[in-house]
Amino acid sequence: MTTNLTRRQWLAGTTTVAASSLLLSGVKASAQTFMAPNVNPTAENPIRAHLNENSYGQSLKARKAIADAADDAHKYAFEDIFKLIGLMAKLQDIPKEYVGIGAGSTEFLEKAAVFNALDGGDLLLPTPTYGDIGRFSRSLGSNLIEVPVGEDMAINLDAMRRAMTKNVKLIYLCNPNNPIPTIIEKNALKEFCNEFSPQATILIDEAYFEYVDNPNYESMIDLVKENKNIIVTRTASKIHAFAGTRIGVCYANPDIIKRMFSLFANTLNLSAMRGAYASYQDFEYQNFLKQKNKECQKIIYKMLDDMGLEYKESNANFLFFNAGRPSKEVAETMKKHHILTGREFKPFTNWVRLSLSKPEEMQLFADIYKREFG
Amino acid sequence: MTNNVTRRDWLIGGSALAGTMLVSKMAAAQTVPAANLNPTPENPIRAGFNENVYGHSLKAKKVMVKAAETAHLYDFFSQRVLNKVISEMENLPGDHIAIENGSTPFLEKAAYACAIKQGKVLTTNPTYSSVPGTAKQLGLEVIAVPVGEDMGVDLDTMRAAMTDDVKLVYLCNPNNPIPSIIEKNALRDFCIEMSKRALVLIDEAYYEYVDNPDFASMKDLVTDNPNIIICRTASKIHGFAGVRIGFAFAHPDTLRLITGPFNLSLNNVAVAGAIESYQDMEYQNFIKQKNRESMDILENMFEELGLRYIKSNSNFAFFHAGRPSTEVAEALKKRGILSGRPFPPFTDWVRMSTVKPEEMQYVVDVYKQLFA
Repeated sequence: MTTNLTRRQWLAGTTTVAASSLLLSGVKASAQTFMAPNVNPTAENPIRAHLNENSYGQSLKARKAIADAADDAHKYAFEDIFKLIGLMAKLQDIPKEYVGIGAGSTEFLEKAAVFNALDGGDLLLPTPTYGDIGRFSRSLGSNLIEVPVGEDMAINLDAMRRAMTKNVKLIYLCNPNNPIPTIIEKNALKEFCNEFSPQATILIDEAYFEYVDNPNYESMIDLVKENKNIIVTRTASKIHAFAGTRIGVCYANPDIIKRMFSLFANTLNLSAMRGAYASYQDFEYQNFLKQKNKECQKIIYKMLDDMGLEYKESNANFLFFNAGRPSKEVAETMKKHHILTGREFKPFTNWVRLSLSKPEEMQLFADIYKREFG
Repeated sequence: MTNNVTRRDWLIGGSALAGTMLVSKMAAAQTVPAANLNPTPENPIRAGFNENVYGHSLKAKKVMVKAAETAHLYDFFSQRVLNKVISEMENLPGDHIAIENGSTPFLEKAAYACAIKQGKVLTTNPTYSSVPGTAKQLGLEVIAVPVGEDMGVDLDTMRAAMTDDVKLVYLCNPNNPIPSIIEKNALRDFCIEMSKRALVLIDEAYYEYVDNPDFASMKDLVTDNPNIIICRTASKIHGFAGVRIGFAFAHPDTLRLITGPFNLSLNNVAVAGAIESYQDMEYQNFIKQKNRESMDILENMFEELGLRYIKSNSNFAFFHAGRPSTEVAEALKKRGILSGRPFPPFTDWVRMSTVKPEEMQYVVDVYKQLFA
């Protein structure tokens, strides 16, 4: 089910949009359309607050580009790759030789793990963090050095510095981190990168970059421009809602890009590329989502404050809070109400990762959570 | 622009179909894009990339439109359905099948796996360049054994070139750009023998087009031999070149070498489309039949002009133009026709992909005007 919204209402934003969107469904011409909040979840159609997806779906402009591409999708997409690389270069003001496109960022993480294995290197990374690169490195037989987050639950650069060895050829940092939505202070991170990039490749996974609204945060893309041994990865899976569409972007110096992408990057879905080309230029849509994400954060912060539960201020589209009981228990209880919450993240077994979907859905979550555990 | 064909017309096939396609406006069970008989540089006849110019099966198209509505969500379930479909069709256990964005990721990762073992790659020349290209980029030595006098893959010479340093043997069967096949019994013996010393990857990208009693897929070998990998792709007969679905068949331990820990990289729309397309035998048969018609048109021209060519087991032809393929490509391009790139050392040979029979006839007419 979708709800229509005129462009003005869209721009007006705030909770009015959400309310009016339901009442006004069926209005004639609309500039944007998105899926209505799911306030009557069922087992078949649950509220998906478990995978850090974007529950609003894709920008209308992207959807149109994707639909229009269908008739071309039996052809190899050579030109579209260069077109999308050109756009990504322009948006970040970086030469196009520094840009690679993949089917989500998974591909870059896997390739970085492969090259590290080729170099016979160890992988240094924090824990907990996004698990893809660690799992793949392990399956390739690489040694992992995992450094627990600090007392403040943020990535502990000092401890990582102490854990650094000559054998480490790859350092992975997810910033903002996941499942703990903290960021690394920009100057400390820059210093760390400058210190270690001469001896190891540093991969900064900026999957949640677009959601950050924090003066202490900065992308490390400027260091890429300085030709440092640094890879910055981004994904369209989050704010662009491409989780099941698959587009990722990687910024690195031309030597790294050449090593990562063989003859031609022959793995990309043409519709996905055309969709991304439209979505990355649709700032109105991205701003709308950021605003909705903040509304969601406020609703859950209020619940957590009311209940006196500990949590980390979020820099992403999910929250991490101390439920004071096993996250598995929370997940089971909420599942009975057809709300899916994040899986267990060791060692924080009493903490719950909650993905922010739509404000109306988050309010429903808060109401039920209070009833169950308040 | 599309033309409608009723289900009967579709099944009738033959050149009658081409005629009915133009007149029929009846309710359509299937729709195919019309032939491009006024090609221009902007809208060329694409005979250069071994694509399926008919596009996707209607059934696939339909589910793809629907799947687009949930393409903002991670979907781990659909790939299990696709795995089951392929598992049943190929009579292979599900844990012996991996799915990726076309076969490219498997080919690249097989080269990576070889590089991690610091091995060399043994292959033939010419062949599909993904594995040797990736290997060279990683600094690996590639032993590329030239095809034989008959332009077929020369297994005996490859056998003689095999060393203990070789950790990956790559063969494309049918081969590309030369659409020959390797005789099935000879290939089976070769695979079993080489697999004792290295990983053997057989790329069966054009498998669906083969109609030759001497050909057999090597997929049966993977269930009791962990050193053999078979790759397939939906890019060809299924028209998924820009959609990206491919498969690897191998022992689960071997699949771990060439896949990620769990496959997050798949496009939901592609997976949904592939589930339908692989079960749409009517469509695949239609494409095979059209391919045969186009191939007949091309081969008739080769015979007529006395040009040497290799009997095709695929959706493309390879013929001796008697002049540089670049010259042919340039002349055809001016007339809105794309043909294959040069394939050294066969620089006087042209790879021509089949297109729709009507378009193929157009290509033949233009070729004769230019070069006969």
